[in-house]
Amino acid sequence: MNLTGRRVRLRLLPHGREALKGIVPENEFLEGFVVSENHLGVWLSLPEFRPATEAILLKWDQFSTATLQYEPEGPAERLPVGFRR
Amino acid sequence: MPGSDFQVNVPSGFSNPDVRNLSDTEKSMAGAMGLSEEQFRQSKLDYLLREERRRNRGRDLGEQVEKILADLGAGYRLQSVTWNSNTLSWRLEIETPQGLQNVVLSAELVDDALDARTRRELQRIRNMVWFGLGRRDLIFEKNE
Repeated sequence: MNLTGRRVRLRLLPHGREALKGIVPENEFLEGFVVSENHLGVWLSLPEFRPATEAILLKWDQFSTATLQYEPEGPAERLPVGFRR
Repeated sequence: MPGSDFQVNVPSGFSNPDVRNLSDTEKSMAGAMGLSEEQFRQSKLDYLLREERRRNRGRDLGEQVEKILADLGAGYRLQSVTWNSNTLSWRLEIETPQGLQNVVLSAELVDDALDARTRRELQRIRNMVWFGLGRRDLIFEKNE
């Protein structure tokens, strides 16, 4: 699953918490918005801690899980196929 | 969408759009590539059809973005949707009350959202447009 464009809650590993020291308050969980992702990790916008013009890189090996909200969604309505009398 | 007047720009890889009559340059290119003229013609046709599909995708994306901008209120208008084949991304040029702004979306994200067409996938485009326009508050204000 691609994370870009989604709100996520990440569970940080100890060295992830260490890497973010001084950038965000120390916490096991970090909530943010994924602006982009690449081979290095995810680029996060953190509304609680950083200005809107900043995104920070969290490397893939610095967090253990990413939690997303999921809601079942029915199929979109489709127009019937065929001819009308 | 009625009233849509944004431009879709997908720069063509061919300066000569005629598939049947190859230019002298194209004929020499075919030779250099070890292709017959017929093989080159077929490859060119495939390429132009892909460009046409890309153009349709840009139009589709623009219509989705117009819906997002309509919810933001007056003063927001999509001017153009431009494909960048180097970065595999779409650039949206949007008129806002603060002036013109660019929002760049990766082709991967756009393809995921427009192929799936689920509310959750389309929300990703919505979030990225809001973020690009400096409206991060909306992402966290409303539930996905």
